[in-house]
Amino acid sequence: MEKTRKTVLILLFFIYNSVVENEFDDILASINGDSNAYRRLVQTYQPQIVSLMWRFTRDRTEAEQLVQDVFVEAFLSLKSYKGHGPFSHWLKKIATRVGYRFWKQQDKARLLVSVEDFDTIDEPDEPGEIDPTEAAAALHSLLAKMPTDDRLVLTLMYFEDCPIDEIAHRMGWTTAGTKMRAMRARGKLKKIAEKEKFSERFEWIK
Amino acid sequence: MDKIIEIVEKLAQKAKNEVITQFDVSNEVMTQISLLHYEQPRLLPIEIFASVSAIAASIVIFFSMNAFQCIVNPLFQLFTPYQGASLPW
Repeated sequence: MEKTRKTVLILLFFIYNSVVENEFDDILASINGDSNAYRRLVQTYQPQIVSLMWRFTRDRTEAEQLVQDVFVEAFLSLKSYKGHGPFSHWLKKIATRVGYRFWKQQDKARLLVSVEDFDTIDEPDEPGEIDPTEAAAALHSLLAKMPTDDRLVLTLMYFEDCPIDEIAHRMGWTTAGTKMRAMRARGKLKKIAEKEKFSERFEWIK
Repeated sequence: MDKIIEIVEKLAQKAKNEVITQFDVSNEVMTQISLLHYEQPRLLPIEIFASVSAIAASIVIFFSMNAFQCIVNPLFQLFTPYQGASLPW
């Protein structure tokens, strides 16, 4: 049993190393102008980036545009990837900044972003259970009412389980500053939720 | 724990199970990248011109320095270039 476990671990280690090696080959080839190599990278990491950008907008057209922006920006910055950490981490850093800029642009334009009304979410038949899509929409709507920086911190914390130092690293902020921001953001979130009568609307959630 | 934060955290837990519809943007990304390549200006002619200009300027400065050293009082020479004796008429 122990021998089988060790064999499996060794096999997984070699598979992981070969995947990483292939990834590095594709990155180098992309820098040298191989478009097929970059297309492979896009197709490999697309699902992760789509999931992340979906947290920045629940409009499909906007989400598609954001994902495209992430990969184009990544291509232009490819030479700056030093290989210190996983490529996905580097990509998510770019994606987070693209999303943050998108929110900032919306603030500047003072666009009235239509967010789903909490009233559209009814108490389901099965007590305590909520559809994940409805839960995501409700949380997205609540967070949309916050200032951009606070919204970003809480979005990454709640939707991506991102630790504070990772959020700070992605945005180029200090860890202490981000921790303070998270604490204050939760306070602001609570005030907004009280104003929206959040606890009355969703007290049925288990 | 505060009730509101508790509800928010429950919503967040449920939201993580959301099935997100995937889409493929690889074609659009590659198109945008290829357009960027077309838009990039060709710098080589400008660089050649700049190099030739720099060489020409260096040559001019080299010869100018030699000429400058022959002038006794450069400012004087500029305003009164010739101090020959006046001829009696």
